[in-house]
Amino acid sequence: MEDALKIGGKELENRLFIGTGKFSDNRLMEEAIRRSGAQVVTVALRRIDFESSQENILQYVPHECILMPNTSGARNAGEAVRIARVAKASGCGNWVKIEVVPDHKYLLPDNDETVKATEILAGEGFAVFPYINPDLITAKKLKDAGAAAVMPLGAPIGTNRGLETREMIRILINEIALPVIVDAGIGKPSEAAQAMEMGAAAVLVNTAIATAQDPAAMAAAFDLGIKAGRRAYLAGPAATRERAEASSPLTGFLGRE
Amino acid sequence: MKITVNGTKETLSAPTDIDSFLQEKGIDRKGIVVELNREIIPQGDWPKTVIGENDSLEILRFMGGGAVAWRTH
Repeated sequence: MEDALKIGGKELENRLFIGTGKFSDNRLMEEAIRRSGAQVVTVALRRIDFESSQENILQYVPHECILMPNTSGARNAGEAVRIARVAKASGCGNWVKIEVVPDHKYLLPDNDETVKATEILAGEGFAVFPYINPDLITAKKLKDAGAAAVMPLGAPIGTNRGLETREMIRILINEIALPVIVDAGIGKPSEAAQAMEMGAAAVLVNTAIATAQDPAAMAAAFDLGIKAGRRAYLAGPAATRERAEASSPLTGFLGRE
Repeated sequence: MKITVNGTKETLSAPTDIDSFLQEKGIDRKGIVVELNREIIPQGDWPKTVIGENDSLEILRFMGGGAVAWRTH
């Protein structure tokens, strides 16, 4: 496989990870996953609601996809570890996305608790994908703890504001010998492309696809944006300059004396 | 017999195993995970695991949610 992303014991061809929240309909979600080309799909674990009949969401996730349960709802490391173990017991594999989010308003993660949960779960054989506020020191600790990647936020979850943490993410990409997967806040394919041009390994998108007017078409657009950004990164973007530089010689013009 | 199911108190008329309990509740057992008193019970053990007085049962399943889902309980 050319330019495969080797991660969590797997090789991925597609660098878009997709979330399953906020879709108005499970069939629409299934179509969006297919059109996105994503090979990794995040799902949440929740108590069953006895009052309403809920469909099993997994039947709408293409079976060839890798499931990445997240620990959303966890407020500390202990809760995240418990959710991860329960998820693994369902037989969906050993990938887990750590989300420790004690903050209700901005849904910002607790980096310290995330490191603690990562240490425990990596030690138990999980492929751990921690969602973090982009911070170099935290990312270094996660690398030492055995994380499979780091997942810094571009902007608060669900805000569609793009790469507001760009400079901090750039530092992680430059300094951390782990795949950097930009997660949260990416609102448009152009923003996903920017992350990939910077050297991000992948991008996780949920709200921007699920709440688009046409989720499946937007999923396909994100796929293209991420592919374009990745190719640009591999091609080596040209340098930026302060002043103009002509792209052809400034001599030999027609009609000059 | 009083038990707690997903944080809510319930009364069982007689001791019952997890498998029968789920069946009675009409729950599609595919993709379900069960914790009994914080211990994960593998699906194969449901028919032989009996729910007792004051037991706490958590019945969980996957649902849509990337980073967006927030706890509702």
